[in-house]
Amino acid sequence: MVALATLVQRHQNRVRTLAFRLMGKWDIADDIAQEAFLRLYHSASRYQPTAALTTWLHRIVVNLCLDWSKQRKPSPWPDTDSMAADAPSGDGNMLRNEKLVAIRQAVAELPERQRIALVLHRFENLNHAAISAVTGWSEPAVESLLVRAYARLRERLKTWMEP
Amino acid sequence: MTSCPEETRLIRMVASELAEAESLALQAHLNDCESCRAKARQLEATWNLLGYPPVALPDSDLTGRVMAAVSIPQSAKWTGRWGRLAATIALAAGLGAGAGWLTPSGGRIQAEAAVSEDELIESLGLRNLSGESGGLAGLFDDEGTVTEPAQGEDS
Repeated sequence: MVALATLVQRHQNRVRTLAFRLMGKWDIADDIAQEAFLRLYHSASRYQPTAALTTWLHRIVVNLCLDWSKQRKPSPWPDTDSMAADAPSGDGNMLRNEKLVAIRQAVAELPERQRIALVLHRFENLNHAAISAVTGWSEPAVESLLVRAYARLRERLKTWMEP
Repeated sequence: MTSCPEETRLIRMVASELAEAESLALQAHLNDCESCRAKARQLEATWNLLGYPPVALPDSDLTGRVMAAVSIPQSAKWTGRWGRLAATIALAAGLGAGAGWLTPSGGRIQAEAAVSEDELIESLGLRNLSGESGGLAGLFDDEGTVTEPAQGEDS
């Protein structure tokens, strides 16, 4: 139990942030994060050590997010209120808030698998092989998803890019 | 001039995934190819824009919630927000205090800085991890797996 508490404390920020980036709402993200650690705990006896712990956690979170999306329609995305609430406040930050909302909205509107690949690549700093290990998708599939995701985002966010 | 690279190589370059030799070769091509240079610039701009700004985490007692949940028999239906409320009440009623993450003397467990990941994993009953990326075979046998997207499928 002590080990589990320490493990949660050590990894909770990463797990919560990943779930938030995939799902867009903190209450859902925290539900998923809680369930991820519970699955880790209850699955311990079945674990075959072929991957690092972080890969395992990533895999659990991605699986939970996919299950959530399948079971609960419509999707929680987009939630501009959550996005705006997360943005810095104050009149001087209005433009920055719009930029933040635009970026988060663009990511939210990606097709689900593109979003998963994109979030793991850009925000979790996983390379193509690591994304493949987390998701079980082949590396060519991951490459294809990322090419399309970045292309969509480039088009969607071009007005916010510096010349 | 070498042939133009596929976009996936440019993505790997922007993400610093390429080995040094490959990166140098690609950079040499970009020096000579305006079209690829423009694509690389756009990719880099997209990459940088996505990093704005970092996510600010709201406060959460995730550790408390997880520990309360594992203190409850798995057969109980502690799901959803009402389940978590009940778990929290049970925790406050003293289940949590006796759940074992306080020292016998009642003091808080010291910071885990000296505890390695391997020690944590061993104490959870897991075998030592190789640290190598690979499959997660056997973990989700009865929970379903993330399926491979079909050619051209996005979701």
